[in-house]
Amino acid sequence: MSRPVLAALLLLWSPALAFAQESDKPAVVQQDAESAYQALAKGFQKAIQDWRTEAMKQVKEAQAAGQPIPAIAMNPPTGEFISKAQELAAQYEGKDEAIQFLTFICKNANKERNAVSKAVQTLASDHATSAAIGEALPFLEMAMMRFGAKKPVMSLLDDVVENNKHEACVAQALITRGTLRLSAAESDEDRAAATADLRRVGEITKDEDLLAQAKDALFEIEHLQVGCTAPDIAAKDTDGVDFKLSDYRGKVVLLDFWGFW
Amino acid sequence: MIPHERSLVQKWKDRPFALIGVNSDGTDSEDGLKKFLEQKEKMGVTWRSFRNESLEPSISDTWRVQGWPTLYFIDHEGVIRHKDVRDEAEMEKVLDEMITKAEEAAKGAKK
Repeated sequence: MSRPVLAALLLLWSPALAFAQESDKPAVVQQDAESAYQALAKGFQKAIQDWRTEAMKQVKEAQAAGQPIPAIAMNPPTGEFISKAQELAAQYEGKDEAIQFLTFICKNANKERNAVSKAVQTLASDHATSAAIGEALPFLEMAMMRFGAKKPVMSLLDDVVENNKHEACVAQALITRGTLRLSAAESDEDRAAATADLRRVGEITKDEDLLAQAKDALFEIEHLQVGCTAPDIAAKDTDGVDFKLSDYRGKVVLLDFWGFW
Repeated sequence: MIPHERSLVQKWKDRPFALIGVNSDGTDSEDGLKKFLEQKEKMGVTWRSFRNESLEPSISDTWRVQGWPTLYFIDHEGVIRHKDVRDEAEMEKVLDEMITKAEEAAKGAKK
């Protein structure tokens, strides 16, 4: 792995942010699960911060000494937190409270492939029709891309789209499925299936955030594919001078999203 | 990566080719900009870059960038011809073909 990518990984790795969740379960269960989640997320965030500081330090030292990148850089301390999340998910098995722990696993696993695969399976078998499944769905992309769980992820999404009665969950499932279909697309047919999912979002929800996500994904299909005219960019350069991408018409442009980091 | 990109810019300086960056080093803050300009000098980055955060939403959000670096190969008519070509030899091959087409188009227009 090249240095810029690695450095970006160190910087962009952001631990799970705790989020409150509403539920009609008894208050005691909910509060217990909630505080267990908060403790998990907080501990994880701290461990990642410490790891990042130490990894950055060691990477800098290695670079200065002309040594290869030390292994710590590729090994965030995810293991114990993933195990803890598995325990908590098991404790709340079958209840909505389990979803946040399963989501945590999909979101934060680094090398824990089995844990991710089991979490996806549990989401599919226990929670596909729950009103709280929506929060888990955006993180399935990572499960699929990084851990190759394509089939179980797609079948979970199909299940939610077909059988879940809560419109926000169905909309979220359509967005995730459309986005995943798009990133795996190899033909116009695949892209048409992605487009159909994303268009359907507008028919079933009025939620602005969900609509915006669908719109952005449609923009990618309609304007950012090979064969599309590149959207123009009019912005400032690093010297503060305004310019446009279309100023370079007549030339071949290699557009590079980059940073030193 | 930067040394390879520098070599491309040098190699095709007299042909219709431009490397345009969209930089995400937080150049909107004074400190970020200062650090960026120092690095730019040090690493011999001569090509132009948009400031990613100078638009709202940022350019990388609009372009749905999922990871860095991300590359788009845009031809002389402004059409996206390739994405995600990362192998250096392959990059040079596809760019060379695109540049040749741009030159042929320019010749055709002059005739």
